[in-house]
Amino acid sequence: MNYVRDLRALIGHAPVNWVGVCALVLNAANEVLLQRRTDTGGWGTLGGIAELGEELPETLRRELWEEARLTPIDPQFLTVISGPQTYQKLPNGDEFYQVVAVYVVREWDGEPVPDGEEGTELRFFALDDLPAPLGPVDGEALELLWLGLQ
Amino acid sequence: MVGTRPVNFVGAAGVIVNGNGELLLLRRVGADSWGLVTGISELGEALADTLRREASEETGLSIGAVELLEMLSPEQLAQVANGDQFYSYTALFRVTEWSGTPVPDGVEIAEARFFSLGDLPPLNRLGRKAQEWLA
Repeated sequence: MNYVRDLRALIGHAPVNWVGVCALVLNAANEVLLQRRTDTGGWGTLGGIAELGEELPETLRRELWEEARLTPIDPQFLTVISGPQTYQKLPNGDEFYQVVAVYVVREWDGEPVPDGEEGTELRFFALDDLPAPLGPVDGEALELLWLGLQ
Repeated sequence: MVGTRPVNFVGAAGVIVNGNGELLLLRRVGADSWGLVTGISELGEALADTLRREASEETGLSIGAVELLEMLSPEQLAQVANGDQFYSYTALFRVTEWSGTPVPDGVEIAEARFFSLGDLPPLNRLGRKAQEWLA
């Protein structure tokens, strides 16, 4: 199943609203796990786009497994981010807006291992020393998390 | 293009309560059960703005501040009269600031009324969600 690829085959690069999730995986020192993304070359949170009809908590579990071989335990829903500021255009020309359910993950099973396909490296970063540039949704989600922890 | 093939749609819905603690419910044209102000987002539209636009279009109400309650995932494939099929992901908001008197648009919405929580009509999924949050 690959909803993004199947829909892109029909609509080309045209802008769409993608629904998905973002995982703020935090260790005991409140550092967040980021991956270096293959598509943009930059750092970003774990997560991704929902498959057709997929429940968002399942999207979270699937993406964390695919991207880092982690299984979340008791993820906490934080907020949902949407709007014109979420616009992105990928190097391949695909345009999209995002509607992203943000979850905080403080407990998980497994050790983070990058998949080598969507991401090449995984690393924990302190919230006051994040790599730049982050995508618009990651920036907003991490800002909200940071404010909540102050 | 996509035709009637199923897609993921995202939208918003609002729990609107009046000063007597009564819940605003809408009955869509052709439906038997009652639900909330709701609709699908335009491209790149913030979910709270989707709710404001739909409230205005469906009932004429003006919505100000809102609080996110939860993000609902689809329970099943929905199909509308023209054959379009979709799964809907819906941000459920509590509306904390609104004004106006609800008037059904007569096109999509047949009736719009406030109901006391002790005397609710048959509810659809969003109506039941509102009932749970207000319990």
